[in-house]
Amino acid sequence: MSARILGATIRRILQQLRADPRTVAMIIAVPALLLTLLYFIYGGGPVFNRIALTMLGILPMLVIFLITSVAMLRERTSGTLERLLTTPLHRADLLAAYGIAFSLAATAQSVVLVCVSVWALGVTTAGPIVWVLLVAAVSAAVGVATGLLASAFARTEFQAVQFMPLVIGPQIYLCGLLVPHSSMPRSAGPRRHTAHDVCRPCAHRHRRPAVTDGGRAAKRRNTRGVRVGGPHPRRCFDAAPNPMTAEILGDSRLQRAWTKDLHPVRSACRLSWVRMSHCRDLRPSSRLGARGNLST
Amino acid sequence: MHATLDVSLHGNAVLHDLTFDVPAGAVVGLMGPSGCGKTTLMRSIVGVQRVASGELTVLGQRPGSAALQHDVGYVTQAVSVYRELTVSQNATYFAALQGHSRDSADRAIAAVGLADLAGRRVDRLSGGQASRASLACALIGAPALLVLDEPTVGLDPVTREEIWSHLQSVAARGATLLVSSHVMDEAARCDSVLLLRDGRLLAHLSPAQLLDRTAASSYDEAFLRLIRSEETP
Repeated sequence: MSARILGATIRRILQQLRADPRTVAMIIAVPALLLTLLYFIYGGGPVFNRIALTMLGILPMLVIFLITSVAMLRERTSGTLERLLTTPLHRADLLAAYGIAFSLAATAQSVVLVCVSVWALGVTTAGPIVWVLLVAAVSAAVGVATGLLASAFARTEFQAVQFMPLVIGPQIYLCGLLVPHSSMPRSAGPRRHTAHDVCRPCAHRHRRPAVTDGGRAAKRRNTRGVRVGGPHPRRCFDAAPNPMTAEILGDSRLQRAWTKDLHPVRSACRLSWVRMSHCRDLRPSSRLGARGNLST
Repeated sequence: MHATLDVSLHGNAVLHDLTFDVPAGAVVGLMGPSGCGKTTLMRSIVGVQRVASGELTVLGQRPGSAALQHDVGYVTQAVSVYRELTVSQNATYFAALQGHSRDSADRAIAAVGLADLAGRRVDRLSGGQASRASLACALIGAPALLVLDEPTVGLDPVTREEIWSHLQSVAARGATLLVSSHVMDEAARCDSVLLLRDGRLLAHLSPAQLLDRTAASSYDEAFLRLIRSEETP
């Protein structure tokens, strides 16, 4: 890779983008308009707040996925890619240039989207707004990456557009917008799945005392969950949701979950809660009635 | 340039037992009907097509090697420049890839006679002008080998004449040119002609030899006679 070639290619891609003012206007304005439409559908309020935060992760990814996959495909079908490969440009230069150029465009889009949602639509977050901006930009970068991937499998622009439901659809379903992760069945929820796996040893450890000495074990477990039951911080991040999934932003426990998942200690507490609520499910009887939910 | 090669595309053999040598500084026409393997041969030479077996050296190097990337200019059959950019932006970009300055981009634009239209977007140029813009991007930095895939196809005689005069001025500078065409009359403008049919090399002759050997009055007729003599040995 060469900085000169990378820089020239980024400049060329941005020049192409600028030469198409309609596309620029769509990139900048469409997500904000869609969010405004949602605002009027829900009449504002907490439900809108939750959905809006999720949309701040989804919309940039969607738009950037489309423009990246079509732009890269056009490079291939127009013969320019073939020509570029006979020059000193390396494939990695081209991929990195597309990644950086469209991420810049996505960041501009995210800034507009966040400004509109916070100042015009009254979206509130428990944490600092800059994290929302970061998540929006990162999810747009995911859009660039998946768009580049999709363009490799598509032969025509028609096919590239049809990859959108295939690639973006599952992400929307799994991001926690339709069903919160905590309510997803084991097979569907990626985070829940992780939580189960982390939980299994503790479930086995606690099942026997729960049968033999009943309430005392339950009380012990309750305190242990707080004191020693929290997992290693790295594990918290393993088990924490992918930022792209927007669970960070839009969980039903919005006001708490936000900072909770980003903060290792709170994340640990949160995971303990998942562990314990699951252990409770595994108990032979519910008469022990331990309330493991730390967030209440 | 020396070649002995076989090339397959999607499991079908496209080029069979091609053997030829092209001296440096020559203008070589690559002639033959559509689908005979002209483009595949050119892609192999510029290093974007995998060669199944055989030996191919271009300017003493393996095709596609890093050293060659500064010395080979390639113009694909389609107008392979960015249509939404201006002629000047395109040329400047391809110059930057080769490590050349903006001045060399301007010189290449002037060489194809587009200096007046340098600020115009390629999609607002006529077909012939767009072809010349594509050619300008390949001329940057004076490459030692220029591979042009049907640069004059579908153009009017005046534009064709202009493009050939640009190519001849490049050849006069000492560059080797490989130009494909399915218009046989363009053979007259070349030092030698590679005649291809169904992926096989029919002949590698000078235009005068081609007419002499077949006793034909036109290049079209010469090519047809050559094919018939191959079919009925």
